[in-house]
Amino acid sequence: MKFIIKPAPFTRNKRSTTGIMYELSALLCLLWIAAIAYNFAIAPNYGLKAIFMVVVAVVTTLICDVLVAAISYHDKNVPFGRYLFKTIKENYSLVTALIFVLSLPIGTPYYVIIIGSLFATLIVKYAFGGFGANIFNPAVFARIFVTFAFGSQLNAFIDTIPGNATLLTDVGATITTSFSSLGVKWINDSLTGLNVNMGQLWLGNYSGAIGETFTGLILIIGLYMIVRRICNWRPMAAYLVTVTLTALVIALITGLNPGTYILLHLALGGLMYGAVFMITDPVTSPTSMFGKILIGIIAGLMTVLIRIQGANPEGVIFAIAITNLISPLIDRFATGMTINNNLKKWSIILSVLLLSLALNGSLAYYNTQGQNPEPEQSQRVLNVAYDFPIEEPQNIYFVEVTR
Amino acid sequence: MINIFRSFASIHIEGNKSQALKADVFSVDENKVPFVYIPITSPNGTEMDIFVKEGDQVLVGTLIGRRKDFYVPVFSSVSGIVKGRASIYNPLAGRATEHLEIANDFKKTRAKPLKIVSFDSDYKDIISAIKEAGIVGLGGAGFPTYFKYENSSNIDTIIINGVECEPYLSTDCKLLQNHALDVIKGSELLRLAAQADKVIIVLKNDKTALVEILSKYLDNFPHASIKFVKDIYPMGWERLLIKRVLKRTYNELPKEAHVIVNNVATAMATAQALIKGEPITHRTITISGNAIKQSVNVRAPIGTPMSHIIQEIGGYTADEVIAFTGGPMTSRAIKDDSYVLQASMNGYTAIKPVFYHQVPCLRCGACTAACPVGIQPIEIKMALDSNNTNRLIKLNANRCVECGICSYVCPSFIEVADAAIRAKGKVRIQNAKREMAKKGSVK
Repeated sequence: MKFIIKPAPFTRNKRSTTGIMYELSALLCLLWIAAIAYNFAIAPNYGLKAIFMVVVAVVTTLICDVLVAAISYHDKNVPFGRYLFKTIKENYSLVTALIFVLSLPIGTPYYVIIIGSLFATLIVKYAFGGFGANIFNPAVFARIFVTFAFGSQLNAFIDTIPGNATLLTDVGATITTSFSSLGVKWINDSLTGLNVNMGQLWLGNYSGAIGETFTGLILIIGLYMIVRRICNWRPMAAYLVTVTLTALVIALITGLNPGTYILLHLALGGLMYGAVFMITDPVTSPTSMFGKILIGIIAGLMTVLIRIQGANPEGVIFAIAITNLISPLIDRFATGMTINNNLKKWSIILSVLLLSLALNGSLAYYNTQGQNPEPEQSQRVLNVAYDFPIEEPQNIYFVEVTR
Repeated sequence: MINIFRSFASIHIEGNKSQALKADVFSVDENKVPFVYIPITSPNGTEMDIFVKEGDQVLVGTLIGRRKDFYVPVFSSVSGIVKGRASIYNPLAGRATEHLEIANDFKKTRAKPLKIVSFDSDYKDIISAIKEAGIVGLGGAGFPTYFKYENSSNIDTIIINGVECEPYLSTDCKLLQNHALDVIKGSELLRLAAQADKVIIVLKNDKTALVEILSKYLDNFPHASIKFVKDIYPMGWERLLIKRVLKRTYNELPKEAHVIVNNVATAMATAQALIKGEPITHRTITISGNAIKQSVNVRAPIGTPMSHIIQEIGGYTADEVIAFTGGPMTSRAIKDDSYVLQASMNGYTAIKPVFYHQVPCLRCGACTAACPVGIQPIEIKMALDSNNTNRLIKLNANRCVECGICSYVCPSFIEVADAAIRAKGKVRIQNAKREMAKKGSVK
């Protein structure tokens, strides 16, 4: 008879981190499958590219895991095989790789994916101590890194489509870039000239980052994640509510159609992808529920601010990067009892929300003064593309980007 | 209003109570218990005043000692002869303590009954009768009951806690099934002792079957009522209980909210002592867990070795077990089962060992959202790991109630509760040091 001594409690919830992470991976794979299906519908080489992009990213992160395990292996009592397995299992690099690669457009060269994955895993994650100790979201920072380092190569198309010789000479960008260059930046409620309607935008029936485009599907996955408690609903909801309210205020101030404008804000630029997979990343969020709500609101503020005022076409990843930066600060100051001081917490949250509405609303008003909000045809360089096997199969327009 | 800064306090823990609840209460045959060992060390470590000496004849209910810190008499649970002292492992103290060894003569002769009271007695008489009967909190804390009543005034409600939110434990439910009248009478006596207006027996909402048993007797006691609460953990914690039942909050002690909370078993013991004149000599405890052959509620004399009780009901089913007195959420693991049954024990659980593989914290905040006190367990653990006592004080680590829900919900299987309990001790030491430094400077 042997009695084992352990600290209480002796019964545990069945929900484990490993389970959460692999369920999240499965959901991301669902998005990957959608991307493969969509890209095969365009052309076979698009579909194959969508498959191999993910494979390359995953293999690269696995190689990084092996490398890190080889460097950090010190306890000779544990066989290296087991140590390696532990490193791979406990760092959940698969999730990082999937979130990163699904936010890249189809035309991204493989070497960019490899460099981005190396950056995400080795520098952003392992240099800070691996899973749980990283202060920045690896996928977000790798995405920012490749945006700045290889921006001109992140194209929404591949050079060759068999039987579509015209496309060889095309240059292109994602729809978000095109949209933000119409008229006054991001103060625009029409998709005129982009050849997508609102339904297609939410279904993901257009070219863009391979996983980010399926806004409706991502929203459903997000709801499923909340129900299954894979992620916390607070940052996601706070982020979406802030963006919605801010967009509503901007639309009312500048006289745009509020419904369309809000839907555009939510659908374009991978906002839903960021809301569901990036800002909900628990490792880089504060631990308190108050902090989780606060970062959602701050991210919403920064997203709209960068969208209407910044130099980049979209602001989701930058806004999330900023919230990662301030998370430790929020943790530091949110020390009190979580059941007390609700008035204080509500006032902080509402004041940040009001700041978002006031700041973004006034900037939008200022930007539209004396300018024609209608898009100018001359700004766009149109190109005839291929036939889509979808409704409205006439033309796909790509817009030249000057960087 | 829903508080979005916390979870919705809806953590339900699998009870695992059905097997022990279905089985009838098993009475340990006292003729097979040759020796009982009565603990004679108080929880604070001091030894009791002993009124018997080696070779003395004692009967069931003979006064053998009294605690020094509180006025709590201790009675013999069998009739026989005092053999001497023995040092036995005591899980409530966490080390070996002194016990009085009594050889059973199997005659079950009862000593002179205690002074009894009636429902018409003065409240002071009732309190002194509770005091003389040595009634302590039988829900697990073992705090002297009379002390709550002597030091409270303006009490308007007595809550009889039958929630039993810990998994595996079912003694309170069994007592209500078998001794409903005693429980209600005891509740009424406790109400009279505090001069309160009403007494509420609080049950979990899955125990609706008990209403039929209780309502038979409730007609004669117009001040008593039954109330149901949600089956969530830690519902039996008195602060949460008072908040949910009466919508009242308090800072330090329930008496600030004009409430006294007592356990069902305490109410029953009160009735038996004050009406029949029998002090606490026997105790019903739940012995269960997946490493116990037959999960059952057992009634045994106080001081019976636990290993004997377990042998009587069939023993273990595994060679390696994790065993603890009480439920799995708050108890400490014991190093062996050689200890004896004490009045304030309410369960013995032995489970097959399950090893959880700990992974790094993912900062999901589940512990913070679930904490019923409203502190931040994971921040406390991180501050403890970095040895930052000032931050521990800022994080209110001393308010932890050791309910264990933070470790329960942790998806990374981190021992958050263990860290929070250690941090609590650390903060208390730090506060005491500061207090002493302050006094020193005044002198």
